[in-house]
Amino acid sequence: MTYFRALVASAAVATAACSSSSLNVGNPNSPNIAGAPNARAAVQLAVTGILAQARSNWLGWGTTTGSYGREYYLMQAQFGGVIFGPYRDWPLFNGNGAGLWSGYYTNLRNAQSLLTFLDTVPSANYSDQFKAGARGFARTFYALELLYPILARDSIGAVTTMPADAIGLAPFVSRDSVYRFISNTLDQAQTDLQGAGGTFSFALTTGYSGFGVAATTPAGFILFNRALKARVEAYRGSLGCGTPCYQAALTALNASFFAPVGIATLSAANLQNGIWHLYSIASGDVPNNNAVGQNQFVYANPSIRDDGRIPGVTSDLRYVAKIRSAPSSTVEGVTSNIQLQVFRDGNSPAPIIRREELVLLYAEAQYFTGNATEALNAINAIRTVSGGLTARGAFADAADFRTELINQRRLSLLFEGHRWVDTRRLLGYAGLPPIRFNEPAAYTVATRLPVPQLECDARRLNGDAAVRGPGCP
Amino acid sequence: MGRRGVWGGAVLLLLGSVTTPLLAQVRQVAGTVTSAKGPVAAATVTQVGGRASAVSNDQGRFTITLPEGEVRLSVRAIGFQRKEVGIAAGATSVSVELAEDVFKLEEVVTTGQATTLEKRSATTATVSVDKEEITRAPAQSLDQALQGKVLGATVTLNGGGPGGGGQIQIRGASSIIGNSQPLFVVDGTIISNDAFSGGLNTVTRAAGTASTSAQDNLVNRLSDLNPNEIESIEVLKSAAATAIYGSRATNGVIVIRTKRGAPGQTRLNVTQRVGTQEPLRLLGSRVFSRVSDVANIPYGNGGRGVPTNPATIYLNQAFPDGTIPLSANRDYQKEFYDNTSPSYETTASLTGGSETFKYFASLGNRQETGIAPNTGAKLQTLRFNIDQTWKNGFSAQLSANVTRNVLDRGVAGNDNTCTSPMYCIPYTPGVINLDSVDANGTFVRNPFNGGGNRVSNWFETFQFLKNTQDVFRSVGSANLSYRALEGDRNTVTLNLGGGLDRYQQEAYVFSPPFLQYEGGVDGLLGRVAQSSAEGLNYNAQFTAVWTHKTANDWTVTTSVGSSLERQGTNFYLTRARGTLPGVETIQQGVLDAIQSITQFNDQALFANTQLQAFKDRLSITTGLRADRSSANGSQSTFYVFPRASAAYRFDNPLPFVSSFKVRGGWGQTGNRPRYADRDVPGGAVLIAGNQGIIAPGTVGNPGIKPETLTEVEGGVDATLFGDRVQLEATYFQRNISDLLLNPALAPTSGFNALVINGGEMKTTGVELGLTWLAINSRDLQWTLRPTWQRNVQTVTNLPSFVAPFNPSAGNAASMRPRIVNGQRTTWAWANAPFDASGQFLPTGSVVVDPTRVRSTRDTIIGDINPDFQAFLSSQLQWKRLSFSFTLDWRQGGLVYNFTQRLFDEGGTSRDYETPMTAENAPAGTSAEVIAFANANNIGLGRFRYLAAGPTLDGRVYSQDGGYVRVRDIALSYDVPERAAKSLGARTMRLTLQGRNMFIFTKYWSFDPENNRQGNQNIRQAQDLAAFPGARQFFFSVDVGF
Repeated sequence: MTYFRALVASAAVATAACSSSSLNVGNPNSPNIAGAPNARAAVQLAVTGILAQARSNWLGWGTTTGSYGREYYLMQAQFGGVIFGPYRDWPLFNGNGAGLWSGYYTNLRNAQSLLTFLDTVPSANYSDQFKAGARGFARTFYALELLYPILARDSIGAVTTMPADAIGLAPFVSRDSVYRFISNTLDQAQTDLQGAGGTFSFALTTGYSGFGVAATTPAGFILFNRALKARVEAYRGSLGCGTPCYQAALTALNASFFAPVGIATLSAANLQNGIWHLYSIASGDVPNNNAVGQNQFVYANPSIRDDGRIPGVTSDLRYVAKIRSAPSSTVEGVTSNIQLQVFRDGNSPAPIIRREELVLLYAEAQYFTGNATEALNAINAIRTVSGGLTARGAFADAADFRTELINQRRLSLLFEGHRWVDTRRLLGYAGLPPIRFNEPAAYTVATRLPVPQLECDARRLNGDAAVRGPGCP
Repeated sequence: MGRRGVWGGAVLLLLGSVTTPLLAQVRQVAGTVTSAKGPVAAATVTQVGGRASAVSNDQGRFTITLPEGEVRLSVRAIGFQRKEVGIAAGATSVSVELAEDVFKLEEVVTTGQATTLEKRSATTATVSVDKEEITRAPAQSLDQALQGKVLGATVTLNGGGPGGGGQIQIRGASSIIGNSQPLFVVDGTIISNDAFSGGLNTVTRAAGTASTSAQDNLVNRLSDLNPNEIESIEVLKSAAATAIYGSRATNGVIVIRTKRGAPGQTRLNVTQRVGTQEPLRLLGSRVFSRVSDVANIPYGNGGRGVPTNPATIYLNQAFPDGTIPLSANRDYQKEFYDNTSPSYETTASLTGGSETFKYFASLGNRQETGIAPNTGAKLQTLRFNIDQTWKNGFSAQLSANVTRNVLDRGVAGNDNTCTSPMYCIPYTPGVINLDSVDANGTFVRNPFNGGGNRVSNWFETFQFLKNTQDVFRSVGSANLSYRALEGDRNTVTLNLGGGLDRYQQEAYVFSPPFLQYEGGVDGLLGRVAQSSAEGLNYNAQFTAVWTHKTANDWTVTTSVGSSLERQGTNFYLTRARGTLPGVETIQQGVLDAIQSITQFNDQALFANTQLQAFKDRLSITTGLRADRSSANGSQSTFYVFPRASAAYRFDNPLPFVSSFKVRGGWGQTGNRPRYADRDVPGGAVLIAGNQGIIAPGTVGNPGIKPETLTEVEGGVDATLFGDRVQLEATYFQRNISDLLLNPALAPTSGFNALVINGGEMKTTGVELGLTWLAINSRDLQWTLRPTWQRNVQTVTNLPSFVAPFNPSAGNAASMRPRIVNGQRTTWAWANAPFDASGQFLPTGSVVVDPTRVRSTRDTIIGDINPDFQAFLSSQLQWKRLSFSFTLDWRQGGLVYNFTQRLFDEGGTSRDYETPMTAENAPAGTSAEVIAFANANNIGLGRFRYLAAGPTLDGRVYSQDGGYVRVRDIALSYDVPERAAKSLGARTMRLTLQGRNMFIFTKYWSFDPENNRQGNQNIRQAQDLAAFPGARQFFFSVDVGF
């Protein structure tokens, strides 16, 4: 047994040669917010993260609702499904239907993480006013980013709160509850911003200062917050809430960047005023892939020219500016020879919300709160300033107003992610043509996107019907 | 304490064991060892019950110092059956003739870090592959050389491009997201089998704008090994065997031993091979006779009569009367994959030495030509293996290997830019000569599928595009052992060994701005990507082995030891998009860079005991290994992996049974977490020059630990009918628990996925092998070895919050595996349409009446795993002629035929217009549907496309991937010695060889074994526009001097 003892002894000696400290291997590839030098820097990183995520999310919103709203074709042979997918109102789990969901909730998580972080930072390290400013920012974005999934899912509803841990599941709530939640969150953000003093501790991009609205201070950011509030209240107004919501929309407009200009002194330039997402082809940044200069497959659905809903459309200044002729392209049996040049190249910014939309929201809210004259003034301001058209006469009835409104919105906000939502809330989808000759009428309009399969998979086994939600088969 | 501690231990033991020389009457005995084929070199001659030993030289001669009196000698040599002979008292010469070891029972199997057992006593099922089988025909890579030869393993190539690239899976997948490759150990060095993209995605955009993608036709680093340098390969399958490698061993261990020197005169062997290649099979394409047929194909490839469409312009100009003569139809595949330029392989090796110093040196140069123009692979290797023993009990083995591996593989596989030939050809009707230039010397532009820079002319692309990988690699190992004690009953050996593996893969992609597709999608003209992937791996190990013979002749071998391992990689890539004409470096345009570093540090302690008793009929092996790793959440925690196995052999239990062995084993091994699974970082973003951090996509787990595989294996080995038949049968059941998973989370959590340990899966399988010496006469020997294997893997448990998920990348529109509790991991799932009542509709119902389709649902449509796989190896020797081949039979197993789908979508499949019949229709098509299609002139290809829809019905292209194929074949002739001598050589052999000779399959596309996503744990089995496989022929001359 001497030998065995010697063996054990030598093994013990060999073992001692290994120390566990060499096993401490870090991860040099991924960033960690905990490594920020101070709270202010950490907040800045989180704020920039939220802005960047929102910017990326918006691209999918533009193309998906552009397809559903018959504004856009991605004329790429390999993506035939993108062409006709949106024209079949099947609750399909496919590449088209799975979008407009995850990215927004990622950003809600980003906003929620920032809010949680702010709760843990001692006031000595980061002042209460700075905290209020960061909270106002985070809540505004929480509300904004939640608006997109509910617009996409409509009657299914959506999830409004973030579960505490990664595997938790917050319940689905109804469409109206989601809108109410968004509206309240915007108000809460406004309150935060009002207590945030004169400056933010963090910088925003030039999308918040370079487009005629100075939103880089708490006071300026309220102008943006209220513009969003006006949009949400107008949507709610058209979804059954009616006058009270439209009234709230008018109130919000008065506190937004709409107010100082109103409708009297509109110009082609100041209609572009607003808050914009920035894109760049620089390495590591995200290019505007909805731009025809960046993506040559960005075609216009020829229905804008051919469906006859807007007589003389091709001489409208907006059509002239936003549509260009292009080599004919045919994919999956659809053909187009016009392209969308709303966004010119990979560096082109895209509006989150701009004055032209606010003027149209103003018209809508005025009309449905009984002020048809002011609504006509607003519509005519857009017709003349933006479209180069003549002013029109009074509206015959509500249907007439709706048709006019939707035509103006169609051209003014082309490919900015509105038409599909607008036709649903204002016209019940009238005006969205079938895709091609052989499509049975039964699946010509997608009313909403399905809940993604991943979401349903995660919820299917849950015992609580509210958690499972109405959107999962 | 540093490394000195190890030496301290060695010295301690050294002092305690001074040996004393034997003083007795001795005599010198001279002998020869021969076989039917001539002298046997390197045979070990030992005195039974004594300590004298000698090794035969290359003439088979040896001398040994023996005591006076009658003694017995045991003579052993690799490849021959052991023999014992008696030597009468006073005799001074002996001659021994050995018989060939057809059943490989004399080979040793690994049982511990420094211990082995003879295969006849082996307690677990192991596979050994010898050099003849490995080099039967030149292979693109070792993966390919092993195809059809490892019972219990599935070896698949991802595509047919030169240089290989594949994966080896032993006994099914043992992990869902963790490492899935076996551990490769070459002469004691644990080598890397990593695969890195060279950045081809910059051209193909298969994965969007990213720089790299798993679909870039990766080549794994196993391809750096030169099969000609390998002596033997041992494959450890059972956990009872692999547990010696602890937490890296769940996927099996492949132990590779390279050739080593033999004592005797210096021998030079030169092998020269010359060969050529052709496509194994091509797919053909639709023949067009009318311009209108071209114009009307889907996607507007033909222009649909739009006057401005480049296709319309071309068609009107080329075929003004609207008809296309048969002679104007072209077969692009035949025109393109027609490179028959010679392939070469040269190997020169030098061996020699004395009994105390042996060396082996080898120089290899292989130049494989690809069937596509300007593609090929070059492998240059240099190896030195040196063995030295000293009289004082020390011995050392050194191995050093330097490799250069250069690949030029063009473009293949998935793409979104119509640059991959087999992706773009399906969308290009064969009615234009693309292999031609216009008056300016520019290649003719492809006018189809939109024309312009949306498509490519692959003849032009392969002329000018560079996609090169250049790998330099050095692998070396050193092992020093010291026989600290050598007594009659006790032997103690100390081993200190280690290995180093360093490689650098430099890759370069250059797409000049004038290529047709440049500027497509992103508007940037010209792109360059330059990357480097560096790996540094080393392992060092100390072992002490004590062998004790008891009084009743039992042998107990105990070993203890420890090891250190490190694996690190550093990958960085920079690229430029939008380069200036003439610039082939990264300077202008849109520049990006990526880098990623990984590192694993592991430590282990181990102890093993092995017992042989009852004249070696009983063998028992047990062991424990404790591992800790930097990859685990708790880095200081040791995870313990135990094992035990036993075998009992009955010698001559029945008249026709010469031996019958029952064996069984149990063991646990681990699979450590992936790098960074334990970290919870954020994601980096950039907007307008400002950097930000967002929530991580995948949430890491600071508590992560290795997955554990527990395996029970049992089997029998028998030698029957006068040593003519050897039979082995093995059953195994493996349970993998604490699975590493990254389940998708509800997107409303704001995260994509979470890393966890959770869930279990179970694999059961059967492996049968038979070696039959069918003919064994003096002039004619014929050995047949059929094997059969099957395994079934089921998920037996999943945490409640883990929703079913797809373990491999791939789109929902096609067939895919899913991890679902209670279901097989290899079930093929696909969307299938159902009607209003929820009943699934027959394939193609949507073509008859789209309104019957209510929606689609994921359902199981078959199994990706084959019903069974069987191999047959045959070796026939008739006098100086020998003939051998390997047959591979895969029964069933679904494959998603994405290549066919491309042809159907492009309207150019060879059977696009073929009328439908019950035989040729996709599975599940009803007679009613077939009748409807024929009545409406919907041909087969068009029907498939309509029936599948974009995401409607995954059943249509999920097809039987069964095959029977001849993997390799060799016919050789040993030139008579006299003739060889007249040419100045000692030996000469002429061989005709073929690789990948035939495939018999109903499968429509190139090869059902191709895999789009490269290495995947659970095979996705998607065949998508892969580089077509090649049939290769060689003529070889082996000359020995």
